[in-house]
This record gives sequence, C-alpha cells and structure tokens, in this order.
Amino acid sequence: MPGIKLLTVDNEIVEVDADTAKQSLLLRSMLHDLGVTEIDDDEEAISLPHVTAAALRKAMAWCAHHKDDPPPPEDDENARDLQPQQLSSWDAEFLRMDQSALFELIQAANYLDIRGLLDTACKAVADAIRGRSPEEIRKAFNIRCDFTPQEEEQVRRETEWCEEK
Amino acid sequence: MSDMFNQDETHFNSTCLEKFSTDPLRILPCELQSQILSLLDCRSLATCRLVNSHWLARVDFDSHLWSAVGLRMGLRRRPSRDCASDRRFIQETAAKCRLSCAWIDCTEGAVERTDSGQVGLSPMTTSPKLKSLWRLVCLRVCQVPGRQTRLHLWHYAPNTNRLSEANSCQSAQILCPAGSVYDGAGNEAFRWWPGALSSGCHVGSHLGCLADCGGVACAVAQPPSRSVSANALGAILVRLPLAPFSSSPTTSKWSTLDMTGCSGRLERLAAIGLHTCVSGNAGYAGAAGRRNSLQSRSMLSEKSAGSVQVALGLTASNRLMAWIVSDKASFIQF
Repeated sequence: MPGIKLLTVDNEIVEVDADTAKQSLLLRSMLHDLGVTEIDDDEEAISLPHVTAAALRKAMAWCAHHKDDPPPPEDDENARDLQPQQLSSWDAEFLRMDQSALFELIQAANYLDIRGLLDTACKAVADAIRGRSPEEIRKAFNIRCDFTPQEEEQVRRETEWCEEK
Repeated sequence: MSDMFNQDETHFNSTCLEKFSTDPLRILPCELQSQILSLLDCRSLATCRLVNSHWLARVDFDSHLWSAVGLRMGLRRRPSRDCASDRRFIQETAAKCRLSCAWIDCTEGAVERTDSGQVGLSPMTTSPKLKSLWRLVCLRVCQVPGRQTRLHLWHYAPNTNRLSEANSCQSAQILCPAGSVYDGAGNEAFRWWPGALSSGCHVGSHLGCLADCGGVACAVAQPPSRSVSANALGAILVRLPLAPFSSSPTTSKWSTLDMTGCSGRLERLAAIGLHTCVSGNAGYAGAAGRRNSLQSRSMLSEKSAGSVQVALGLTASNRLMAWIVSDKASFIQF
C-alpha cells in the first residue's frame, strides 16, 4: 500500500497511507503538486508546521474510518448550517478525548482541510456547550466569570425571553 | 497575614484558571469559534452570553453566527452584513418564535381594565417619542398553576440596542388572580374584548408604522372608533408569522387540526387563542366546560387560517391593556 511521510511540528515523521491522506484537501494538492505517490526512503517528508504528531495520527485514523464515506457536498455554508446532525456513535467515541487534544484535532483538521472531521469535531464541542448552564460551561472549560453580579443580572435579563418558565 | 495569604491564593487560583483554561473561544481561531457557535440554538447562545464578557461579545457581534441561526429558524431573508442588525433581527425573530411555546400554558388573554374603567386605543401612540423609544417584539404569558398569571411585554429599545422587558412601564399584569378560575362568562372586570375594535378597526388603513420587525408588521394602531381613554398612552398592534403546529397529544380537537401546510402564512398570534383554549381543556381541571373553551374550539376548525392581531396599550398608570382583534368577526365571539 503506497504511503507518504509527513513531518509534524514536533519533529516527528509519521507515515500515512496516501489514499487516506488524500482526504485532506491540503495533502491531496501537495501530493499532486509534488508528484509523490509512495514512501521513498530518499524522499523528504512533507512538512506540516501546524500539526502535532498526535493530532495527525488521530486525524488519519478518522480519515481511515471514513474513507468510504460519500464526499461532502459542495461548499455551501447555508446548507451546512441548516441542520446540525447528531454525531454517529463511532465519532462520538472517537472524539472522547481531553479538551486540549480535541481543540488540537480541530485545528489540525482545519489546517489539513478535512472538512468532515472539522464539522464532526466542532459538533462535539457544540454538544459540550449545549444544554449546560453558564456555570457548567465555565466549569467544563475552566473559564473565569468576569461579570459583576449587576452585569450578570443585566445580561440575564436580556436573554430571559428565550428561557423556559 | 491571613488576608495576604487569601489574596495570594485567590490570585494563584485565578492565574491557574487562566493558564489551564481550555476555553474554545480563546484557543481556537475566530472562524472555528463561529463554526462551533453557529451549531447552537438560540437558547444555548443566550446561555453562552452569560459565561463571561468575552463570550458575550463573541456571541453578540458575530454576524455569521446570527445568520446561521436565522437560516436554521427558516428565515429565508439573508440578514444584512451589519452584525448588530443581524443579531437584532434574529433575536427579535427568535423572541417571536418563542411565542407559541410561551402561550401554550396561558388560560386566556383577559386583562384588568384601567383604573378609570375606560379602555381603548390612543391616537398618541404615533408620537415621535414612542416611535423612537419603543418597538414591541414579544409578548408572552407566564403561568404557574395555582399562582398568578403574568403577561410580559418585551420590547426592543433602539436607543440602547437592547431587547428587554418593559420594566420601566411595569407592564407585567395580573391576568387571573391566584386560585380563581375564570369561567369566561362572568367577572367581566377581568376581561376585555373590545367590540369597537373588532367592528371598526381595519388593519392597514389606520396604522402608523412603528417598526419593521424583520418583515412582519409591528405598528401603532389608530382605530377609527376613538373610544379612547384619556389615560391611555399607547397601543401597539402586532402581527407575527405562525410556524407549523404539531398536534397536541392531549387534545383530540387539536390533533385534527392540520396547519402544516400553512407554514409562514398564518399569524402566530392566532396561536394565542388556539393554544389558550386547548390548554384550558387539557391542562386545567374544570376548564373543559367553560364557555370560551367550547366556543374557541369551534373557532379552531372554522377559522384556523385567519389572522389575529393583539393590541397592547400602556396607560398612564402603567397598566397594560390588551385586545385581540380578528380580521374575521366571528373570531372574537367568545
């Protein structure tokens, strides 16, 4: 199986399957431009200055699992925004990781231009926010509340219209 | 010494919190923050505004975010590129969309009469002052069984660019005293369906436009029949679009009403009457036999596609008055 070498920001060389890697639009165009098709010991690794080895491996694992998925529709922001879908159980389990790793993966997916992974990971973060109280959100993400009680009350009043009573 | 230690400890905790924060709205780049926030519904976004000032600003000033929320809510109009107006537009619309839910539990739209006993709409409602200060965006009824029911008037204040409850006017009014059951036949002091309006007010020809609330009418009414209270300060006539209904599992009458084909065409405020009557049947003991419930139910089938406007008036004594006005006379035959 043809493979390619990728040099991550933490100076690690990761060998990945070329077909899997091509789910990344960035890597696909790089491979196309460089004419790289398989691992060659003499071939220089492709440098990925914004991706850690851990995030790259995770991203490639996701790509490998989803390699038979139909290609995402053309970039249509409106269509993408219309119906946030539930995460599949595999994706939900796959994205069960600490927040730092998840954010690293999101940034890697963004840099590598793996839209499916990016959408999925963003949904996971949105799911972590949805349905929680402000205090629970702060706790979940280690966020400090800088509102004075008066400010908080003011904001609360502004948003009271959409609260269930 | 102890205070110093506590201060140090507080500072240490605060520093640690910042250092180890995994705040996605700080760690991730802006476009990814937007992508995440745009996956949230209005209520979650409202919660996000309460997290801290950074989240508040992030949610409030992201035009992409509000556009996405608007699209998910079925708004086909693409809001402007101006972020503040986008947010305002969506928030207003979201507030309106809450109406159907908010009204489900209300008993009925009866309100107290003014102190003077007079009711009516005021020609003063088109005053420049009112135009500049008020824009009604939401009306809701809150009811807790066994307690008082309150009607809330929400408005958008252009001068502050904020959506808020009209507290300055103390608009929350007691509709039904605690423990009382309004039977729909008596106790007229707590009920007010102005016949003058239904017969005389022709929507459209006597309205001064107050504001464009995202494409739906929000106007000041000047009815031809000037049965106006000297104390009345203003009245606002609101028409809002109605989303598709789902059938209620608790009411057979309701489940037979198919309104799904009328998406976006009906007046949402018609739901006030509909929900009111049906919830009166479903939610409250003894309500089923009430005259208004029965009559209202018959209205459902006959006039479900009609439109209803709600007129609100604020009196000099800070009392809220309300009318339900129909474009079909039978609609108000309670």
